[in-house]
Amino acid sequence: MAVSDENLAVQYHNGDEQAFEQLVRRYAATVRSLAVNMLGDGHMADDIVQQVFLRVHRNADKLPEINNFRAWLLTIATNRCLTMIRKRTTKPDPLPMDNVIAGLLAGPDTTITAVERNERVVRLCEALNTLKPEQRATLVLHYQEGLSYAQIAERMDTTVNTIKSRFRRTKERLRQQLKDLYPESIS
Amino acid sequence: MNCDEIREQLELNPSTARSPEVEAHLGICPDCRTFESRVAWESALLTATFKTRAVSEAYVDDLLATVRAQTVSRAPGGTQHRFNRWLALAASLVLLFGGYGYLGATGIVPWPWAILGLSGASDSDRGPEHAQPAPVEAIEVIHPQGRWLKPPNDAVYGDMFFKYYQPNPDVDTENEHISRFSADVDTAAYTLLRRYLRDGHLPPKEAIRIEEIVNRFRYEDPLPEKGPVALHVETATSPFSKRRHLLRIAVRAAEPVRPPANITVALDVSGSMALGGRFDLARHAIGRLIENLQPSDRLALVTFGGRTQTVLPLTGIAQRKSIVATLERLAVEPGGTDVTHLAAGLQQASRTALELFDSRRINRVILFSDGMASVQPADAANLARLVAPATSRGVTLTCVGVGIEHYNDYVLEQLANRSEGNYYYLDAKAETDRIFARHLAETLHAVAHDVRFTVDFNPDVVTRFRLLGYESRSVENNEPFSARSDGAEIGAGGTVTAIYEIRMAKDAKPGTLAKIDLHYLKALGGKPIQHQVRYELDRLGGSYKQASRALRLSAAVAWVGDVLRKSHWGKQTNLEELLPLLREAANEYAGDPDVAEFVNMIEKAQRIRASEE
Repeated sequence: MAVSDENLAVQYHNGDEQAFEQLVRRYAATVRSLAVNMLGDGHMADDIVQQVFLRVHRNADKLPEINNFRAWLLTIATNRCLTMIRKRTTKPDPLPMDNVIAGLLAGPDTTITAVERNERVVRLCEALNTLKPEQRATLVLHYQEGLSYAQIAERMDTTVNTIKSRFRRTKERLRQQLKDLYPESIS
Repeated sequence: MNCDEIREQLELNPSTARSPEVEAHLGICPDCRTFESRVAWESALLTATFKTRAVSEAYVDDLLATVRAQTVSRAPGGTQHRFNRWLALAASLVLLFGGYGYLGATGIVPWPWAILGLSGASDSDRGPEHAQPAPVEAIEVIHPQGRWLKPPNDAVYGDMFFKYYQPNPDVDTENEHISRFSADVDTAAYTLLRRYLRDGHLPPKEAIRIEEIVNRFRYEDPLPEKGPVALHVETATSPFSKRRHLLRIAVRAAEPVRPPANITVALDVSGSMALGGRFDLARHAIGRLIENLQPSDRLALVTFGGRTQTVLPLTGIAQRKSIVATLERLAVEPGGTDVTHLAAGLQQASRTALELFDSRRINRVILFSDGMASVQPADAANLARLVAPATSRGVTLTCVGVGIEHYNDYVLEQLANRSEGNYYYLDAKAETDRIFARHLAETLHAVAHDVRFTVDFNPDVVTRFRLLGYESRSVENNEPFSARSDGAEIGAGGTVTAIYEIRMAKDAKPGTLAKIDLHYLKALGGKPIQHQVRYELDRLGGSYKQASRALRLSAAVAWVGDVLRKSHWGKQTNLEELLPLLREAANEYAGDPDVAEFVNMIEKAQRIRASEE
C-alpha cells in the first residue's frame, strides 16, 4: 500500500529527501494544473509550482503539524495564484487550447465544425478571462478538484453561503456570455 | 417548491440524488428540464476544461533540481540565523519599550536579518489552515533548518543567491549539429570572482559564468568596416590534443559618436544597503557617472526601499552641482523598516524613463541594488514584466550589483537578461572607473541589440562540439527567435567572444566546417528588423602557437573558468597546467591592466586551492 502523504511529510521532516521527491512526483501535475487553470499562463504557473514546492522543501520543521497535506498544499497554491492574479498587470493568456477543445468536445454536441470549434474556444477563453480571480478560483476548485462548497469555503477562508452565491453569479455570468454556444437541442 | 428553488438545487447539487418532489416537478416543467440539461452541459464543459493534466518525468526532475538548488546552494548560516532571530526579537522588545535611540546608535542589530527572523516567525505562527496571502508578502528567505542539510563546503558568505547552470555538454553532431546561444556582455561574474579571491576564498561553482569572465577582456579585434558589428572567426589546434581544435567566434561593435542620454537611476536605499558600505559604493558610482556625463545628457533619480520616491526629476547635467547636492543628501532608510520594494522602484524608474522618452537619445534605466527584494514580485521574470512596456519602446536596463552577503546574483542577472540589459557587479570603488569612466560609452550606448548566434556544424566534417560558457544563454533549436528576448546588447566598441572545442572526423573531406550566423537588431522599439551576418568556415587554422593572441588568451581564460566551476572537463586539467598558457598569452597584452590583474588573480586562486588540499 502506498505511504500516505502525511507519513511522507513526516519522513521528510526526519531527513529523508526521497520522501520529498515522492511528494513532488505525486503533486506536481495537480499543482501545475491548478495554477494553469487559475492563471491561464504556463510560465506563471511554473513559477507558482516552484514557489509551492520550495516552501515545502524549506519548511520541513512544520510538516508534522499538518493534518491534511493535500489540502494544505492546494491552499498554498490557491493563495499564491490569487496573489499573483491580483498583482499582475497584463491580461491573462488563453488557457492551453487543447484543454478547452477537450472541454468543448466533452459536451453533448460533438458535431461542431473546426471553424466553429475555434470560435467557441476563443469565446470560452474570453469568458473565463472576464471572471474575477475569486470566481475563477471557485470554478477551478470545484471542477478540477471536485471540492464541495464547504471545502472551497474553508480553503478560501470564507462562508459556505458566500461560495454558493459566488458560484451562482459566476455561472450566470458565463451563461450570459456563452448564450449562443449552448447546443441547439437544449435551447 | 417553485421553479427558482428547484433550479437552485439543480445548479448547486447536480449530482446528488433528487427528491421525489424535484423529479415530479421536472416531469411537468419543460423549462426546468432545459435548465437541467444546460447545467449538465456546463459541468461537462468545465470539468474537461479544468482537468488535471499530467506533467512529464523531465518536468518533475527539473522541478526537483531547481527546488534543491535554491535551497542547497544557499550559504550556511543556520546558527547565525537563529542567533539573529533572537537578536531581532530582543531588538523588537527594546524598540517596543522605547529603546529605539539606543539600538539605532549602537548599530549592533544586523537588521536585515532582523526582518527575516521576524517574518519567519510570523509565518510559522499562521499555521497550515490559514495560509492566507498577506497584502505585502515577505520573500521566502527562510534558512534551511533541516539538520540533514549540510552547508556546501565552499560557501564562505551567508545568503548568496546564485543559480547553477549545468555546463554545456560535448555534443555529437550526429545527434545535433546546430548550436544556438545569445550574446552576453555582462562582467559581473568576473568582479564577483575577484571579490571572492581578494578575500582569500575560491568562489562556489555556481558563481562562475565563463562567458562573463572571457568577455571582460579587450581582445582588440578589428572594428567593423561598415555596419554596427563585425564578425571574426578563427580556429587553431588545441594545445592539449591534436584531434581537438578551438573555434573562436568574436563580435566587435562600431564606435559611433554617442548621442545624448536620458538616464534614470534607480537606487536601492533599503536597510540592507547599509551593510558593508554598499550604499556608499553605489553613491560613489553614481557620482562617477555624473562626473563623466556630458552637459547635454540628463539624469533622473528614483530611490526605493520601503518608500519609492523620485528625488530628482530629469535634470540636465549642466546643473551638475545641484544634482550632486541631491545625491549627497541621500541616505539609507532608517532602521527597523527593512522593506525593499524593488518592483515599485523599477516600475517608477521605467515610468519616469518612458514619460520623457526621446527616440533621438539613449534612454536607459540604471539600477543599483543587492537584488534582495522583500516585497513580491521579487523574481526576475515578474520584475522584467514590469519594465517590459519601457523595454519594448527602447528603454534599456543596466543592473549594477553591490554587496557580498545577503546578495541575489540570480535576480539581477536574469533581470538584465530579460530586459535587453547588461549586468555589472561592483566589488570596489575602482571598478566604477571602468564602467562609468573609461568605458562609459560602451555602458550607455548600445549599437546592436538582442544579439544571438547560430552555429551550424557540418556533421560530415565536425564530429563533436562543446561551447564553453553561455549556459544561461542557450536557445533551444526549435525556439523561434521572437519567442525570447534575452540576447545581449553590445555597447559602442564592445566585444563578445565565444570559444568552442570541436573534434574533426578522421576521414573528413575538405568542405564547409560550419556556418556561423550572427543575428541582431539595430534598434529596439517599433517593428524589429533582424539583421544577419554570416561567416562560412571552410578550413582549419594552424597550430596553437601560430594562433592570434586573442584566441590564445580567450581560450586560456575559458579553460580557467572550466577549472574554477569544477566541470567534468575542468577536472581533466588544473590551474598549474593552465597558468603557463595564460601567462604566455597575457605577455602579448602587456600594458593591459585587466589582463595582468587576471593573471595575478589566478595565481592567487592556485595558491588558495593548493593550501586547501
